[in-house]
Amino acid sequence: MLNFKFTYLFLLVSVLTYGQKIDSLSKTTVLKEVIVESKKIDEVGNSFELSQKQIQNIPSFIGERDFIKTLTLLPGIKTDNESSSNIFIRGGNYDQNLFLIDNIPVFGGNHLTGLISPFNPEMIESVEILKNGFPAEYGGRLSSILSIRQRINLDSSQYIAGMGILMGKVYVNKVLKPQKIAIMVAARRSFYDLFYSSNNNEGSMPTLNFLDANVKATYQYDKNNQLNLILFISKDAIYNPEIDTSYKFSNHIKGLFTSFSIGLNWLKTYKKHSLEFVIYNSQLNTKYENFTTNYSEIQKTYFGNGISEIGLKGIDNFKLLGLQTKIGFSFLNYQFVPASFKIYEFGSNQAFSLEYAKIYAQILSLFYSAQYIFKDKTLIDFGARVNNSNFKSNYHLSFEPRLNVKHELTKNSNIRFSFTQMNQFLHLLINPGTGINLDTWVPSSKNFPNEKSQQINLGYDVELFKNRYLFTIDTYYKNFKNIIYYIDGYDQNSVYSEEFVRNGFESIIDKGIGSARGLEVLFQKKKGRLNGWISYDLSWVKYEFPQVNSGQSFFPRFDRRHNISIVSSLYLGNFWTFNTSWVYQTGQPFPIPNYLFGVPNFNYDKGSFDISETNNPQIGINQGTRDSYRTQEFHRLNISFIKEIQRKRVNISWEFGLYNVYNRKNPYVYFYKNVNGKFQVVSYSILPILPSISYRISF
Amino acid sequence: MIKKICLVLFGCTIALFLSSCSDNGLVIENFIEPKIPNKIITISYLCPDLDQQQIYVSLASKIGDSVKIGNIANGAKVYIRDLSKPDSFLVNRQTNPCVFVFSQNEFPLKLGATYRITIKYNQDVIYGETTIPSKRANFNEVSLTNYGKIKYFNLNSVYEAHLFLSWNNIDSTNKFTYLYSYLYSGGVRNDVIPFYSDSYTENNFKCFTDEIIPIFNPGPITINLTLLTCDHNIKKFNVAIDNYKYSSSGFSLLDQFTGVYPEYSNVKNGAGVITSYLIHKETYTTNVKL
Repeated sequence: MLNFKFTYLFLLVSVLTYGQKIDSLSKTTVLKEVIVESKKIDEVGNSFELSQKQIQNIPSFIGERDFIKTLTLLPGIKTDNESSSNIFIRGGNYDQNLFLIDNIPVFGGNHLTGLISPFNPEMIESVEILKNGFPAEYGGRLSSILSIRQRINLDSSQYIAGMGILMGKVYVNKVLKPQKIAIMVAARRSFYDLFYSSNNNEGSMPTLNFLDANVKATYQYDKNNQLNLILFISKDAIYNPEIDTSYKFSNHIKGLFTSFSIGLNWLKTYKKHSLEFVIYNSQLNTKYENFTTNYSEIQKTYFGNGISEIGLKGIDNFKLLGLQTKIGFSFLNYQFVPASFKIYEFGSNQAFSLEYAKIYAQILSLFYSAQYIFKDKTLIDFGARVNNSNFKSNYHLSFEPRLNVKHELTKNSNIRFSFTQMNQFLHLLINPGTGINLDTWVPSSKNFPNEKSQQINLGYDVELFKNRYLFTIDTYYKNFKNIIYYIDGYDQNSVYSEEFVRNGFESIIDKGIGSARGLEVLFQKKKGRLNGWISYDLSWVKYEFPQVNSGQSFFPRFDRRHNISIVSSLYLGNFWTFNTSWVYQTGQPFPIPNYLFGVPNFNYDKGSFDISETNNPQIGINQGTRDSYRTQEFHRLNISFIKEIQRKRVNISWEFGLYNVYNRKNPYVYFYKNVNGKFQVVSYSILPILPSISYRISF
Repeated sequence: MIKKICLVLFGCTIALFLSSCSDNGLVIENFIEPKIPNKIITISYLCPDLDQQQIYVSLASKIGDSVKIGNIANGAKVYIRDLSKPDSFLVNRQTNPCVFVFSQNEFPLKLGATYRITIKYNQDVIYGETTIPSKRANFNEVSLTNYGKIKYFNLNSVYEAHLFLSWNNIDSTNKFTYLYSYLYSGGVRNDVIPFYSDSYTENNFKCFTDEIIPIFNPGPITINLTLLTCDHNIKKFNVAIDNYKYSSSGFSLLDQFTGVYPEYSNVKNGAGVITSYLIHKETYTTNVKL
């Protein structure tokens, strides 16, 4: 309840955000071409790329740009509930997405319990997303690769600052030595804690704060050598105090969620080779503290979990026998702490401490891929990846063939085919309910081996009317093996339980299979006064686990049958632009009891029922199946007007936005509520019509 | 001109913002239309050690209805039959519209026998079976040890003792389960610890439990112990019901972190449980010295 209240009010407060940015360009007002550019991850045409400009031209989420929310407007990419920044791609859960920042993997996490993704739009040059046809150099996740390229300029410095009630922002691109050394820093911090006091009584809202920072330093030693240092940090803190002074009782909950990545990237080119080496460490950590005081005594509880990944990757790109060839390796070392506890009971200085033993796992992967072009019409990209994973001296060898074929039908049209097999060596325990998630990563093991998927994709694309329009259609089938799920009766509360720590995570999860199939259509207008796209996808996702849903297959909660998005940006003239986005999604499956009944107390000594307490009995429930109902369908229209004014060296832009224009009450979460003795299912909507305004000045 | 347009839009934006600050954004919406008509519920705990047996029969509630005890199934007929015999016995005495009663004189229950209870209501027929344990477990060890001083919240210091109970498993195939309770008095407070505490099985033959109980005053203590030998359906059903406990504020089953709980019933076409148990009672006396 508190979370809902908080989220709602927080969003309203954030609308007051008055973003003012000052761009100070030392020489020019336009960014020059980015010199340090990661390679494109896909050369067969399976990917979709979003530029900084496209992200800017989609109506913002109450004044805040978020590329994750932009991605959900593309076919095959779904979100969980409104405003969630977890995305589900082609039937895969959100742990199956590999996020890369300049080729460094990151455990993304999110801000404000999912409302905002941790990726600062200011640092993004472009984002490329791949849902199928994964090149052999990528592995470790089943469903997608999202590659973010950060913008850095070796020619000229640039400074951007923004301040608002929601957050403060800074973007600094400092050239230390022209054409040689530059450093980029982009950071955001929320200021909610400065405006809201946290010493509140019961029923008050908790405080949430976040911070994220991206740093990229580039050293261009010579034209053949480049070194990049990449740093990413995202922190979220929640503080929820409850103080009852009359009973001298208080309860303080603090939570801290941290995602951290640091990496070094070395690009080396020879006459016929180009080499890339990456070394990095990525971490995700959660810490909870709960202090309960009763008069002068205090009970302290600490809970934490985390994952750390250290990786070393190398790629050699060269031509061999007329084939563009890539060979390489990656070595990953994981450390997991699924759960740890420390409890100081009332009046005791001695801690009850229980820590799940640290788990270590290693994965060595080798890959090979080559491209062959046949008669200038057909591109064949083939390869394979071999992985050897080690968990507690249990070695497991896996093989992943990859094939991509593109054939040019006419000058403007192609057909594409791809087959990929993927392995995922990590499992994420994900809340099966409808609300907020607490990520707990666990490794593959003998009983819960690598998650696997195979995907076949057949696509067609054609450019029309002098390449102003692009039409693509894709159909796919994907299967999953060894995916995991909480056994019926267990959920994220179980992670906090002693049982979880004592018996291990394997006692509360089950492994199963799944499948996804679908049809995706994208019609894009790329040029002209009006541009944008219309996307539609039709999809089915099914999961099956022996100990879930009585062993029957079911539609998981991110199975949405129809998804439609319409995105447009219309130049009205006189430097006015009108942007819209409309989205429709079928409701999510979720369980509702078929019926309920009161259970009378029974006296075993007398053999009699007590039916005197009729109003608040224990309740028996016939749960029905996991997908017995669907939530209401989701649809929403966002619009914005952007006015740009150019005066001499000063550029001003205004954005007037309206989120959820027709005030659709899309459900955010469902729960049961006992209303005057009646057991009802109710929903909360937290995002009504919300206007926003932002102002930007650069000079 | 541009400045004016911007100012007008700014004003409209602020006005819209203020209007959106009302409670309309936070919606509680009744949403579900029930799909399935009412189901018949029966709960029955048969015990040959007691003279009187009760069978609870009621109707389930739909989502959106009040959930209460005593949702009467008017005109329901209740039958019980020993599966080794052809004839059923019609249970036609009622102490309450929902509680059907019979005595051992009317229909005697035997150890090791399997009984089927059938309920007919309108066109619906539901039934379930239970096998009464063939023998009852007895305590083979009872002890009260390991005193220590502890402090509960801001109360005065009290002493705690470990109550250890063990008994033999009467059947290693886990067809039966055990429930126990203890009531102690004499120098300590009167308290009843309810059933449903878990017992642990050291091996297939020996079961034990280790409870911590507070002791307020030293001296002689009498502990009245009860051990039930039960058809395993008792535990399965009650564990499932315990999972469904909900608070009056709601937020239990579809809460942010909550998953889906499995239900348990051995009643065909209906819900509830038909089960049985045997009772063993024992008194344990000791002198607590601090």
